[in-house]
Amino acid sequence: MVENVIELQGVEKTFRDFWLRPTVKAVAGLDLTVARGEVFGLLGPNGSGKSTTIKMILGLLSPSAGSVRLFGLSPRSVAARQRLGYLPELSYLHPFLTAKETLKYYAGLCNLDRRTAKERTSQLLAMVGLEDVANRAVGGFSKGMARRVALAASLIGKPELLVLDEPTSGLDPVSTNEVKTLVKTLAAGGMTILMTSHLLGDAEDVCSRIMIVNHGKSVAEGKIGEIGSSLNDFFLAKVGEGRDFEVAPFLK
Amino acid sequence: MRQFFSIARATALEMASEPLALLLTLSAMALAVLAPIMHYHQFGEASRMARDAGLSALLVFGIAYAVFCTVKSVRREIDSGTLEMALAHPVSRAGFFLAKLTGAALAYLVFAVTVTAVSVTTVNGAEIGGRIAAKVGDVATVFGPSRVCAISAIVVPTVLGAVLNRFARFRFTLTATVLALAISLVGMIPYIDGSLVWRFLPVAAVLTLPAFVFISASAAFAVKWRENAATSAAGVLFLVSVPLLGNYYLSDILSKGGSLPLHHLGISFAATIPMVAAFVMLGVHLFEGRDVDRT
Amino acid sequence: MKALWNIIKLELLANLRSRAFFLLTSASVLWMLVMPSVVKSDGTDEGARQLYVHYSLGGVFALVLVSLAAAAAGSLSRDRAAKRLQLTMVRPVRYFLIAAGRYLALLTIGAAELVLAAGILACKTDASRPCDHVLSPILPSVWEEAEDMYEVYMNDVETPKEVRAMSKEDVVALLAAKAPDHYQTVGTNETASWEFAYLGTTDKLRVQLRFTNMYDTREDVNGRFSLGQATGAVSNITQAVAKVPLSGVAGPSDGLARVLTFENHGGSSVMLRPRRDIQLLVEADSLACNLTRATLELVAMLSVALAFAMFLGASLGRSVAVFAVITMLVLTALTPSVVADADEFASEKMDRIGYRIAKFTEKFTRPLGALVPLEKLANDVCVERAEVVRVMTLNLGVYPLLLLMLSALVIPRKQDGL
Repeated sequence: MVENVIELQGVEKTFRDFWLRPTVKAVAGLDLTVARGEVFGLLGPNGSGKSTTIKMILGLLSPSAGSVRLFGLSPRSVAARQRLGYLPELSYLHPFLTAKETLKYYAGLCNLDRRTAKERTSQLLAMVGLEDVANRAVGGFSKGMARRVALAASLIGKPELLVLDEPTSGLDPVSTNEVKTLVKTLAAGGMTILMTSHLLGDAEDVCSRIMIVNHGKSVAEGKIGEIGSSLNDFFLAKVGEGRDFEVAPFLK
Repeated sequence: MRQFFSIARATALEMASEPLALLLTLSAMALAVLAPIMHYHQFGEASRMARDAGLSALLVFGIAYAVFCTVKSVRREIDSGTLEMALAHPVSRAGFFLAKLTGAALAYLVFAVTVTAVSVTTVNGAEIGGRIAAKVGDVATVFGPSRVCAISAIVVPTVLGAVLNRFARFRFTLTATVLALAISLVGMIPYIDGSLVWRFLPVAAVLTLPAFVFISASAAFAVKWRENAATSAAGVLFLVSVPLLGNYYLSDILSKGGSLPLHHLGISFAATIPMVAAFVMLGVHLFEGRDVDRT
Repeated sequence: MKALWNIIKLELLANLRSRAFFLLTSASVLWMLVMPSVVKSDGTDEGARQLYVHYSLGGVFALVLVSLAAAAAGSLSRDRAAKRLQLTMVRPVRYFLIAAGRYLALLTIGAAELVLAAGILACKTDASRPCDHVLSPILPSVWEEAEDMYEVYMNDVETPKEVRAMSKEDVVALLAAKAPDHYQTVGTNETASWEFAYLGTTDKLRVQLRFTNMYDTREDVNGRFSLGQATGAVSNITQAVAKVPLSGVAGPSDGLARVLTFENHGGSSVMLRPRRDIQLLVEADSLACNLTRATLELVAMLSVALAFAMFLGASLGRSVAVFAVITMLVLTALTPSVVADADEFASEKMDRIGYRIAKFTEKFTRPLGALVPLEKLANDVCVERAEVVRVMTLNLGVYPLLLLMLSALVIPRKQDGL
């Protein structure tokens, strides 16, 4: 039997203001399972509830209703987080640490012993091509370099599940390609990957299964090979074409 | 000019919406109002206590307001990238910087007027209380209605701001700030024809002048340094200038119906202008020279 | 533990690599070195020494306390606002450790600053100078005395009517607060005696007499103290605090050595408040040892402030948390004097409310409010080991643990936007 790494059942998330009045219902009854070894793409337009869903899976937000299980455990449990890696949409690095210190810091948080931490730090810095600037403070890095450091940091604990929030955001086409290749290689090695992306081409290239969410609900789910059309067409069919900007009055 | 007012207005609104700004305003009002009411150690001199507390609150909290809110406002523009957006529009750097300063000064004026108005109410209440006490041979206290009025200026904005936020979704901080200003001014109206207001205002005006120096200095520091460093630099400037910030002689001037000679206000104003100008020039120079990125 | 160490290291680096740490250390060292030439004493060497000991370390403590408490309040809130906190939260680390690591790092910096200041102080003063255990007479508790006084006080015509309207419990509490100020009169050629819990046999004993107000007789005092075989004469006192050496060994614990007697040979009565004005000084150890104990107490006091600031930072936005912690520190510094000097019998209702608020605040800020170790250090009074253990257990153990546990509860909730 295939083990489910992520299980969401009837999950809802309502944000509330100071007076506890509901302000936004970001997720409205979402069921989702990701099996071990899958590369799962969570797709949807802006404000569809993707990031909120991911944050509930990571234990950063608690659901208003329903249940979230990560490796069969509560996502807030230390044991579940031991097997998790996360790359946020923006890199959020400590600017005063060097690239090497950043990786060592996260290695420490993953409880790695000194030798393993050192070994993995060198491996990952080499992997993302930052050995030459390993001792420079990341505060002075370009967006692309910071992204690489964050990616390396997400992998330092050799996670069983890697959560990637817009992994190619801010990267040039060459780096985007490198990241996609990396994701495929990690997946081939047995790592489970959950990713979100606005770039449907990226998702189509690397995901084995996708879910499209809109207004906090699942509107479609399926394997990439079974969609039948291009992912772009499928996505627009499910989410809607959007409206045309009325430019003419402005140009007058 | 439209650009200038647009930036100044946005800055003033941003500063007045800052929770810290409201906290500083309410704390200054609380000091001005409660010190003469809870009269430990005042030996029946409620009036003197009211003047001392009100003027000290205006000076010290005013400088804190100027430093914290100006540094925050300037640094937020730089750190959040909104400066990049703004300068991508046809705005001169010097114009942008001066407009930010003007906005900060406007927000500070809201603070200064609120605290001054509530102080006038309390001082007047203490003077009335003193006259009543002298007649009946009791210890002087703040006159009851003035006391109610002054305390209301603190409590009502907070409660009404919360209620309006809860039921009408008004922005709490901004609403409470505006209400505090309005209620303080309304509380001052009964005394507007008395001499106290006209004696008190020039003194309060002198005590607002250091804040303008600190606004321009903090803005210049914030252009150069990050939030902590800029605030610390302004803190050092404050410590260095403590010996120059005595306000008790001004409080003494007001006792027994005295008032500040107007030429003193003129001299103070004239002394402030070069200091403000120096820091503004420094700030403009630094701002013109700095790279617009998030460092 | 590895995770905890990494969080500590991160916070240490964050502070050590900022200019703030350099500024703080320079300011502390500068203050320790230049303070004697800045502050004016009463002109005596003793006064200058007392002032230096009190205000040099006191100044550095205030500086370290305010700056590190502000840093602690900003630590979690800063990283939460910059969204870096969530990257730590998704790692296998307990939320308690996230708060505890930051707290320990800041405490280490604060402790290092205080130890540095104490080191400079030890070098600049006579570190071998002795300090004394201070023993007070064994007297009935203030509550017993207040109970005894209740009827007399209520029947006194000068008792204010507002006080008469109060419950017996409240009046007794007020009388108990006033009990330390009750005077005992020793008339001419009369003898007074006080029992002390002193059972030692040292010959390094002194009696300390305090004259705290202008009504106290000083020059006229003429008499003899004796404790067992040890005796000492006192006459023509010119200072507010007089220390009378007792010569001879007080003797073994035969019962007599516990009772100090004073024979008044002067021309007028001597008025003393037994709870405040008469104490037995027994030589303890050196200023260096005392300085070590006082520094430990200061570190413990810093600890509770940092833990509280950390909790505020976990619960509030950065600027509001920093403002709240600075306001709390100001209130903490003010309330002891308000409570000590307040007139509990004030007839104004507003005053009584104010007094109650001040007393309530003082109760909760007491771990930090009174700078007792500095007072003692300056006056050559031994900071007792038992007191150090008690202060450290509470301020370095119990309170921070509770506050950090609360912070751990708040951290995920705050992430939820609540």
